Amino acid sequence: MGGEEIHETMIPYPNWLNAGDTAWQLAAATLVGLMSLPGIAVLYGGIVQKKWIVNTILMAFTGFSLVLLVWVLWGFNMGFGNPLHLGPGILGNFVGVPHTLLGDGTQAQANIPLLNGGMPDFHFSQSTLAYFQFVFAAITPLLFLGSVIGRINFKVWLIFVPLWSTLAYSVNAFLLWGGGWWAQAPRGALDYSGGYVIHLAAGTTGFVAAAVIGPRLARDRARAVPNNLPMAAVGAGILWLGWNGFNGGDPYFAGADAATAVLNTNLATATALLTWLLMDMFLSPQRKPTFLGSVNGMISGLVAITPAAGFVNGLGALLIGAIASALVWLSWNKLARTRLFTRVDDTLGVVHTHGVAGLAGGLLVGLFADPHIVEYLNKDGSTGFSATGLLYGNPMQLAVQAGAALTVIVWDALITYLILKFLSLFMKLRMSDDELEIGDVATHDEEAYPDESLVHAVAGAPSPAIASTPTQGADRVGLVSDAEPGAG
Amino acid sequence: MVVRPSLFDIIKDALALFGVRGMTVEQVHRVGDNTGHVQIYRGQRFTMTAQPYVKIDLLVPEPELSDLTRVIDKILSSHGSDGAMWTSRVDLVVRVRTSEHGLDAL
Repeated sequence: MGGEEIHETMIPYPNWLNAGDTAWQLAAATLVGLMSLPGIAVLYGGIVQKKWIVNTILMAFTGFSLVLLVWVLWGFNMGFGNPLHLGPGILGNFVGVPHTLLGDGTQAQANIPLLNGGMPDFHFSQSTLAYFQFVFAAITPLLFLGSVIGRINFKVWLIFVPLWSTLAYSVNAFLLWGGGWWAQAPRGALDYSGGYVIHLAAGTTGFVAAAVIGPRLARDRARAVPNNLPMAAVGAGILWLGWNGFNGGDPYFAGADAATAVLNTNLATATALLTWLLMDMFLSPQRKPTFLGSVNGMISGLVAITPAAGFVNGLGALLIGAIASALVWLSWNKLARTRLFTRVDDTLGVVHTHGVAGLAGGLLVGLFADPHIVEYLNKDGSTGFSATGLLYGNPMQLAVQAGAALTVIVWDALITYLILKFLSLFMKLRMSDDELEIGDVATHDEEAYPDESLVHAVAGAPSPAIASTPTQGADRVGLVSDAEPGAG
Repeated sequence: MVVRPSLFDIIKDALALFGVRGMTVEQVHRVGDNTGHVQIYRGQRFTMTAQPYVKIDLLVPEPELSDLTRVIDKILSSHGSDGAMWTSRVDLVVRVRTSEHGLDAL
């Protein structure tokens, strides 16, 4: 350097791009991706029966892969592109026009057509936005996977996920995030990071899918103990901290509201974990603190603060955590004993921890949204965009939140039902009872913890370790035949 | 004998004082007459119908038998244990490494 003047002939990015915003967005996206892989994979892998570990983990990895292909080939633009004009009113602002992301436009400035002017211009590229939104699209099927573990036909999973992502998720995303009908004035439904788009959707879908596909084997239900609590702890911990990207990434800018969302998320979550723990200790039949109970509380808090993270103040976050955890605890321990819920075998209880918690959070942001918590500023520093809930004088917000919730519940339930009924015309939704009795080994020829003392490689198999055995054998035979004449 | 896992070390140490060094131990499950312990996972209660126990096989010369059973019985009863102990006659013992038979093999 030596004080020499440097004449740059190239620049790394155009002037609309901000390195800090881009770096945070890609980091946040990666954190959210880690929540799926390995987060959900090992959390669910740890709390399912031992015989379904491989099946569960493989469904998580394949779901993630399938959604990425859907997303790049048509899904992203259905959620965030130009509106598809299907009719008047909500029909004209229901879903986007399907379009690929395979062209060269992905290095251009990110753009959500219907939000132009409604928020600051993006400081990162379209592929940054697309990948960030992909990890949300990807985790949603992985969440409702928890409802259908232990009987869904693996091939049905491979077809259901792309269809559901196309027909249900893209609509949820467009309606609330892509500038669709529920996001538009005068409604302005709030869903900061996916309390509805993701969690209410996953809870609804999981419950309906569990009902249509039918229950697990009665024998399995009677002995469905988790197989590995430390593995569940790893997954749960990744979920919690990954949520910093989940909620902290959703302002799309590495600004003050991102930090507000992160702190609120952690505050609500800690409160919710402790609320569940205390309810287990003082209100449950066994009066014992349980680890998996506290994980349920943790997830309830994470989910409930999701629609509210950057719209509420710290007290609001704390209250959302406590209220949502108590509600989900009651749902889990009381509502689950009612006839409807005992008839539907939602394996991991996704309808409670994601459905009820997402709905609770979405309604509570209608109460607690604080107009002084500012997402975007005007150029003069005044409030550009913030949300106002019932407690701050805007009762309409609560009604709007309820309407948006109802739309997601009805649409996702309907689409889930129709896809599964359609698939059932030419394939079995469930594995055979014989397969269900055995589990992973029957479905995948793999098990989570094979015992090496009880196996032996099959000769002739295409593996280097096995191929060497006949070679050694041939050498030894050769030596013996050489030695024999000499000995004679 | 079949005893609670926590008693294994106590029995082993006590028998060592009487010169008993070798024994075979395996982990087993015992379905007893007492109702199983309850575990709770995610709010669902599960009763554990079988409890983990250890099974200890001991080869001793017949003259020492009554003394040793008395020692073991004392340990089990003093710990309030619900274990069980039984004896049976062994026809043949061979120590494979040395080819010793019978009492020499113990």
